[in-house]
Amino acid sequence: MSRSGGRPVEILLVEDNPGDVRLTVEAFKEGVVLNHMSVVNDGVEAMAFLRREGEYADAPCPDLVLLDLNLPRKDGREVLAEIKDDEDLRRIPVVVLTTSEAERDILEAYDRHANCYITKPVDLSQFLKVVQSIEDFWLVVVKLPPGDADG
Amino acid sequence: MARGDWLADPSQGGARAASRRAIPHRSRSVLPVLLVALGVSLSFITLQFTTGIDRDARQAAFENVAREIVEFVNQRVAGYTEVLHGFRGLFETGVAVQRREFHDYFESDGVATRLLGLEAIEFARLVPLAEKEAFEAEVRNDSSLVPGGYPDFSVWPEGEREEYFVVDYIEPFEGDERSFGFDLGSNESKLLAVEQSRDSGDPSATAPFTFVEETGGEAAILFLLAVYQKGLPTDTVSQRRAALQGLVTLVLSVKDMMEGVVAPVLEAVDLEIYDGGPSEDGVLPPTRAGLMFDGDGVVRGLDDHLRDGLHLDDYVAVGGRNWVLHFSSLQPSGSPASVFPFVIFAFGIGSSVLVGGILFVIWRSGDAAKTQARVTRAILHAIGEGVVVANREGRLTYFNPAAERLFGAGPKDVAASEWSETYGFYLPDGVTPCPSERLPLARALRGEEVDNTEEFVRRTDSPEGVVTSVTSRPVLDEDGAVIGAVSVSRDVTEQKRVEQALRRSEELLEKRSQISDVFLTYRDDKAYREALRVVLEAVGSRHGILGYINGDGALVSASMTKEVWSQCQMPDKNLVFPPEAWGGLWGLALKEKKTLVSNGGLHVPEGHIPVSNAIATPIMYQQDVIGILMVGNKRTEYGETDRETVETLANHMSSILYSRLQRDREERRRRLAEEALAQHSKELARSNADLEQFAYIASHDLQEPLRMVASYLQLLERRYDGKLDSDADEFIDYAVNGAKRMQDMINGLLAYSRVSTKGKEFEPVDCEKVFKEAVENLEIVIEDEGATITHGPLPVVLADRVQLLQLFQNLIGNGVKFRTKEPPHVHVSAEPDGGSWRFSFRDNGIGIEPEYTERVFEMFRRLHSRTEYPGTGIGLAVCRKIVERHGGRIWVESEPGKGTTFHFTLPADGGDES
Repeated sequence: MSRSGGRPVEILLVEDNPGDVRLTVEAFKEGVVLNHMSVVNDGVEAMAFLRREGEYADAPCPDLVLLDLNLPRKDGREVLAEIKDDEDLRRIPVVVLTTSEAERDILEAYDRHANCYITKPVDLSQFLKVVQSIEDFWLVVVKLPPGDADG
Repeated sequence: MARGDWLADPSQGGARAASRRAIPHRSRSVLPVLLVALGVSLSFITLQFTTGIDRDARQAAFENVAREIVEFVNQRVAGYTEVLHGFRGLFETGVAVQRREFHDYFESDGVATRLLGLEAIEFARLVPLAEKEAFEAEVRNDSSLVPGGYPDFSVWPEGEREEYFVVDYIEPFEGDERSFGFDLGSNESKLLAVEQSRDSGDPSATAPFTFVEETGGEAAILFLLAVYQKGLPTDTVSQRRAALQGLVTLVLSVKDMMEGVVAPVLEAVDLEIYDGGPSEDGVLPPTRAGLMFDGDGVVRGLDDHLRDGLHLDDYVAVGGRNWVLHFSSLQPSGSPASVFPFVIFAFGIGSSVLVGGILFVIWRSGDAAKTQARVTRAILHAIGEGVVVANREGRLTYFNPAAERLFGAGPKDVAASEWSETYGFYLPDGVTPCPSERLPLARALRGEEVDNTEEFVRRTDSPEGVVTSVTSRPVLDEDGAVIGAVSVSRDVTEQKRVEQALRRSEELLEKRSQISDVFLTYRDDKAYREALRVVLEAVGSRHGILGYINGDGALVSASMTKEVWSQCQMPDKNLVFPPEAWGGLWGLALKEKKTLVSNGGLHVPEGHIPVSNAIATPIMYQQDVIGILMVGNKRTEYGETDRETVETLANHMSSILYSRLQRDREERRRRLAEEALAQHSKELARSNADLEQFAYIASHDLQEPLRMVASYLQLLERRYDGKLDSDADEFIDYAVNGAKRMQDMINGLLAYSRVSTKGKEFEPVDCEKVFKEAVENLEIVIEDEGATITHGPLPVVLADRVQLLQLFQNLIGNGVKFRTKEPPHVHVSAEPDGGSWRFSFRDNGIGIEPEYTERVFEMFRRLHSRTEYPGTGIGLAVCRKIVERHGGRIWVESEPGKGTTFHFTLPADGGDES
């Protein structure tokens, strides 16, 4: 099932912890939607990727961004703010996926127009469930704005 | 001197009477001021700082006034004595003093109006029995004053006596005529006084009597002095008896005598004067009959009940008798006014009476030329003033006996320019020689008239010197040319001394009161500086120290001013001196506990302000040195007076300083304790905050790696379950369990630390609702265990709703979890308990052994194996923390096997959120 003509769904995972990267990748592998996941390890790279700068000149435009908050160099909050300030990027749904349960982080994320905020469950099966539901919701249920990405 | 003895009833017998007689005679000169039962102890003064100062000042003022009044009475008596001597001089000029002269002189001089208390002056003539009738006849026929004489005159009371002392002249006559012809010898008390004066040649006084005519019922005394025949020897008692001519007698009203002096202070001080009997009998206790004067009409000296407050007794010798002056303070607060100005008035009356009297006699004699030489000689020999005559050339030609006594020599053949050096004349300061040309006699020679100039006379044979008051006149011839000069010098040393003593006493009192004020006004070290300033003023010194001994026994120079401090160039200048650093005069004074005076030769450390002279006195409280008072750098040398002043003021400061130091010590102790406490709670708060921060961060950051461990173990389990051998499966199982448990514990720790870091504000919370919610949250467990949860009425309390829910949930969950085989039953109830609510969660579970009832609330404390009752051991620790945050208390009661009840309290008003 593909929303854009059989093209796999492009997902950008912004996450510095390789363990989490692998877990997320594994979780999406078990998913039902054909997807292609790109991974960057910090905020600076994330912005370069989204703006196709430098080594990311040929990067695909993601259909969904999974964003951790605590990142080296430029942290997730700044990345979120920049995406939502950028006319070309603001329509890309950003799912904040983080370990923080802090109320302040949650409010701040929504204030910066995060599309949703999810706390990483500690338990593996829970985590898998969560990733599953992200996939279900954002890649199946939700009607997203037409991507102008040409791939 | 036991006051009780004075007050004893004479009828009570011998022992007391004997002890009265044992009271020793005290002559006026050695009479100290006796303080009777003042009842103000030093320790009492220090109890109440303010009251103490007040009392102290009051007492000082009271004593001062008493002293002044005593001085006044003394001076007044001296004045009467001079008048008596003056009249004696009048009779002893050898010119017959007749009734007419006596009358005219009295009229013209106005003695009566000038001497307070004088009711009448009389002359009582000695009339031997043989001459009585002739004398009576002579008086009857004497028409010099009244035409027709006194036909009814006779000596009374009747009866034959060997000698009569008949009151012959009386001035003023009217109103006193009853005394006319009275024989003083007919009355035992009066005869005693007559004989005493006759035999001694000194004035004597009678015991008080009531003499209606003169005094309107007030007490009066007679003050009399023997007059001898001119030309007869009077060296022995028998000669004096033989030479007696009569007695000059003053009738004195004691009340009038005191009027004017006591009036200004009557509001504050009551004075009673009692006759204390003849001096040779010692001082007799006051009696009602002996009461001569009472300021306020309330007799206090005889009544113990009226002797509360401040009292003081003093004595004055009056013509061979003692008068007892009893002072009582009437004023509960404030200071009595001074009588000082009235005292000085008493001086100088007698002398004018004398000289006036003599001149009067010369004038009256009608044959001045004939008697002039005789009279002049008499005058010059009789008077106490020193008379010096100089001739036109400035040669001294005559010194009367008084002048020879005063100047230590008679006329010397020296030029006028050498008078000063020869006779030792100085200016009133006592040290600057008086230039001879400024001497009154020298000025009179130049035609000036000089009145009452003060001059100081000091010679090697009288190093203390005397102060004289000198009046001088030029002697002129018919053409008004100066042919000589006369000076009359009067010794006023005693008068000056009294004046000065009184002024000094006034000044000291004022300084003391200023010092008290200063300590009341300034609570800081300014008090020391200001008090020192007062002392420096009092002794005219430029520098000083007022310091106290601190708790370590070191001297603190509290009076140091910035000015002096900046002048001090010592390299190790300091304000606090431990005993080993005590040096110089002050150090010695402190060590030896005595006043030291130095008028030179003082060594000071390099850089120290130069000190040319100094007085240092330790301030003592009881036996302890509590401070130092030092003054220095007076222009002139320090004398005995300065020493007394410094000591008096240091004494005055004793109790004030002691109270001040006590107060400072208390304050310092309290402040230190408060600071320590504040520091302590600050540290505690910080350490608590640190711990909580640590717990929060640790648990948060621990989550991350743990999540990795747990997640990948679970991933392993998921992917490879059954694909590896059974050992591998088991190992993975344990690892997964361990990781999960650790996660639980970290979560518990996090929850624990969040109780204070994530607490919400208190709000009214309905515990019924909280109960319901907790039960709903626990629904699955409750169902699984088949438990029953019930509750009684629950209140609304001020609390953090979320935490209260957690508390309920933990306690109910506990009750369900630690169950026996019986179906669990948990009952929740609440009841008021003082200002709090006491909640109880009662279950029918396994119970807790008594030794564990405290430990169950400790973190990670488990009483059972995980397989029996799973859990992290953090639930009750969180409960306790929640309750404590709400200002309550949690505890447990249990009977093992029967069940457990958890109790906690919550303040009804919400308590203090911490």
